[in-house]
Amino acid sequence: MMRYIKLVNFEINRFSKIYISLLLITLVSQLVGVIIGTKSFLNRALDIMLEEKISEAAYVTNYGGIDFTQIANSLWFQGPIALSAVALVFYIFLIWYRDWFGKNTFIYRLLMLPTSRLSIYLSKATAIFLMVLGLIALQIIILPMENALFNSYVPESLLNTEMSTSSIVKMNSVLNLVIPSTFTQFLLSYGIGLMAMSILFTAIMFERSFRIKGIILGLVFTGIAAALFLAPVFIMASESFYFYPNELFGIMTALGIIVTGLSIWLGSWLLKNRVTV
Amino acid sequence: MKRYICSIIIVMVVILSIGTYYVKVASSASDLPKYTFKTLEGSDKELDPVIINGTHQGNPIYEPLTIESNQTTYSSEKSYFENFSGIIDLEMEKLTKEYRSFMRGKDSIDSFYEDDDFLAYASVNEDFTKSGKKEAEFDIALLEKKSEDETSFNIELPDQERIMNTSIRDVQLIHSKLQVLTTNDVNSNDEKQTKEVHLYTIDLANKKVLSDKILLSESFKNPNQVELEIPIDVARIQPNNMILISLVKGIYHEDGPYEEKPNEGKLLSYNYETEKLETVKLPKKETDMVRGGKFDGKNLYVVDIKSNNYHIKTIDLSNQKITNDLELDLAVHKDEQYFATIKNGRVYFLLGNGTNQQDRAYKPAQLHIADLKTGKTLYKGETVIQSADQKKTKNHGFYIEEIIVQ
Repeated sequence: MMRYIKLVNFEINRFSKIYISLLLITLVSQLVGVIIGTKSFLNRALDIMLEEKISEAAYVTNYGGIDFTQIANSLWFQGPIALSAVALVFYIFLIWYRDWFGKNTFIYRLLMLPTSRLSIYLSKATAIFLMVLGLIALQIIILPMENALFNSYVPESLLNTEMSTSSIVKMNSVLNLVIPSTFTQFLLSYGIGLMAMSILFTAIMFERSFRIKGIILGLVFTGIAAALFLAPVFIMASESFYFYPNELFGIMTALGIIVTGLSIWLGSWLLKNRVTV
Repeated sequence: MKRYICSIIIVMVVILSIGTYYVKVASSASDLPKYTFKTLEGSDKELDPVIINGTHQGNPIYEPLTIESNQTTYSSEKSYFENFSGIIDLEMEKLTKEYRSFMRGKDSIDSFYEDDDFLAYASVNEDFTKSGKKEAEFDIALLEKKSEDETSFNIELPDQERIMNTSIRDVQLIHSKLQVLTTNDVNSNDEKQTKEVHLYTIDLANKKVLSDKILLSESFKNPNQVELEIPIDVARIQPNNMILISLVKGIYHEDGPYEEKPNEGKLLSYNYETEKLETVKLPKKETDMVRGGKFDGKNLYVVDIKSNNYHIKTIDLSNQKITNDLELDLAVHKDEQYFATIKNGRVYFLLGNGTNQQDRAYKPAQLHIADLKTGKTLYKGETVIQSADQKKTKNHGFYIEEIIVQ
């Protein structure tokens, strides 16, 4: 157990420089987005009001006011979320391949460690998952701050409505995807994410074990895993059987757990018995 | 310890922030305003069987809600699993609970028939073959309640080259033959469009279609329009000898709005037992009110909005006379929507979805419950909005989708 924790910590520290950069980029870009977005709206509104000699209330009826949804739809705001997502998906591959292709082939030392290979596999998975959640946590922490900043900037007469954090999340498709609206949905979304990651890890293990042939095996494995998880959906689409919604939910949850377990077992087995350095 | 500081911070921040966020989300549903009916007259016991589905129109968030027995429940307050299957019809829910295996994969309440011994189902399945040809067939199923015997089979839809699409409107079991009433659109090569009402008689024992009778066929050309409606049956799946078919004509004016031509429409009744199709002769004034009418197999109930107050008229179809004219103590508001339903010998009449012109604020919805026979008002009330933060309810309102009485 201690070895596993050490390994997780080790993996996080190795990625910390890039990770902290991602956090900072998100923070800075979103704050800049709030300030620039509000400023440009206010300047435009002021220009029009002067030009047409109308009051703030008349401006709102003619041109519409502003609320946080407009800010949250800007590239400043959503760009860093997309960047972080891409970076972490990329790191799913990098976390393994850097050990082989980096300086002084680190995988030698890693595989020599007197610990089970399963904890090496799990520690890498845990590190990535924790970093994903860390980014979500950052977004949850800075969103109310950005909202407060926005509300203090915009005069009340030009504000459509003051929004709560949860309604901002609900109104924005990107935010709603990374921060699901209920806790159950959160568990399901990130559970599926965990499953997808374990399948990818195992596909990588196939490639590391059998090289070129392994790529094909990895693709085949990914296909089988996806087909197994989605089997009830295919059965329903072919109209040969109908599942009630709660049955479908139960079966897919069970299949998801089975697929994840199978991937982890197969991945760590390959790492233990087949992976060559 | 120092080596772990990075990981410890991440774990702590993750648990604390995500945890607090979802705890707050879970408790925020109780911040939404509650809608209740304030009793103006009568006893609020009358509200017990009333279910109203609608939406709370906050700014900017819309939240679906249900007022059941005068209690507001938001769908966001329900558990993930309760919301999972969405809103289903109460009758469907009851059937699904009772006959879970039979009901598997079946939907649309109009496709069902239920009496003491049988539960029958008919639907039309449309599929395209590889060569692109359409194939339509009946999906028929019958459950014998006592023995729990299930029969199900498919039969080809007769004369299907002619027919573009079929929708099931009523299913009855008469002398152990299944009667399936449908409205069909007919294929055509020119501008002419044709709508038809078909009655298919299906022999359940020999699994074949005995007859395909065209009860009504109406052709028209643009800009003229024809709509075929079945005034909603109060008891949709129960045995009924009679069904009403309402034919509504209208016209699209060039660059103008769609206009209905109420005087050209007609109302037909079909009796499954005697196989007689008749035109129902209604007093002229009543003809155009049939569309939103309710039919219970014997009487047709229509809402009259031509006087100062709303009237509920009962038309006995056996002699085609108005047997009852109930005046509600509620003035007609043309800019508001009404929802009426007849149940338990009472009229449930809900008026709402109106807004004030000046501040676009929602007007309260008004509910009247009256005894159908005596016309006595049993309940009168209007919605009030209750919120922890009264200031925030500005411009908030309640949009009604439907009223259901259990």
